[in-house]
Amino acid sequence: MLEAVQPPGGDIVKRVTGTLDIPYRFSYGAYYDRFFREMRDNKRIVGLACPKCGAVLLPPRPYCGFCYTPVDEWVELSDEGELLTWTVVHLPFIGQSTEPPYIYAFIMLDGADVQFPHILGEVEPGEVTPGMRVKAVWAEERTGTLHDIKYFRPV
Amino acid sequence: MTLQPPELIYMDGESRCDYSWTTGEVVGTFLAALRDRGKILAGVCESCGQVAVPPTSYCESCGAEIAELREVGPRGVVMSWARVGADLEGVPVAAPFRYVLVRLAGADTELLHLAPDDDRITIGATVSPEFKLQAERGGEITDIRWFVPDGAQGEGS
Repeated sequence: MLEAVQPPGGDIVKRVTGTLDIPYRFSYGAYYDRFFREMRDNKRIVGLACPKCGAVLLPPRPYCGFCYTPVDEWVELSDEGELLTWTVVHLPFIGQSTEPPYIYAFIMLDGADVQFPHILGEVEPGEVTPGMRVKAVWAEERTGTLHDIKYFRPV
Repeated sequence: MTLQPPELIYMDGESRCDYSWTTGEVVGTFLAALRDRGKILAGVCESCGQVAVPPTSYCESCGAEIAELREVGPRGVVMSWARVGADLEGVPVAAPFRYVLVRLAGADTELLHLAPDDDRITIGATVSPEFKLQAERGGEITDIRWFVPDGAQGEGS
């Protein structure tokens, strides 16, 4: 159809490639701010208790995910809990903070009703069992991110 | 909830996105003409007659499929411009420079491109494209380095 204007000899340009670098600054806002501030300054994990259904939510958010009730009652949670499930990550991908292989886990902290994602340490994949008790190992230098906990270890 | 933080906590990061954009037949032909022949092609709409540059597969005015490409320019008239005083990522020229909307001779739409920060770049000014050397072209819109005011050719960039 467009043959009349095709350049003699040369192929048309089929692709244009490039890279976008997008630096960003994520502001935590009131709820995450308090959550990460407690982790950073006091090595404490805090959640929110729903006044209607009683669920203890983590990480904190302004509405209960179970019954949509606004929540504002802060509660302190244990940094120990029960391992719900896990997987071993072998593939590297963008944004990863730990070099594979590592164990990615969902943990139900004592007192919480929402599982908490983190990684396991001081344990080999073959030794992990569902329901095992795990405890947070806090980083010496904490900056207010999830990495303020280095990993969870078996109790 | 009352919260009086002594300072805000932020998380800084960077996303890096490598992309490969598939041009399609019309834009691919447009880019090849820049690269191989130093020509600027516009899309001609058989339905409404609009001559659009850069060309698109479908007429942005009436939606008809574009079946003809036609050379336009190379000279054109500055319809609008803006001075940029700070370097911008992804822009191949250093600040200060100007963005220009150029209505190329024979075209009905404006091409967005770059120009030197030259006071001869004003609305209504006639400008001409300055192409990169053939060996430096890559089949990109930046194969046109920028548009320079009439009379400025050969002054260097």
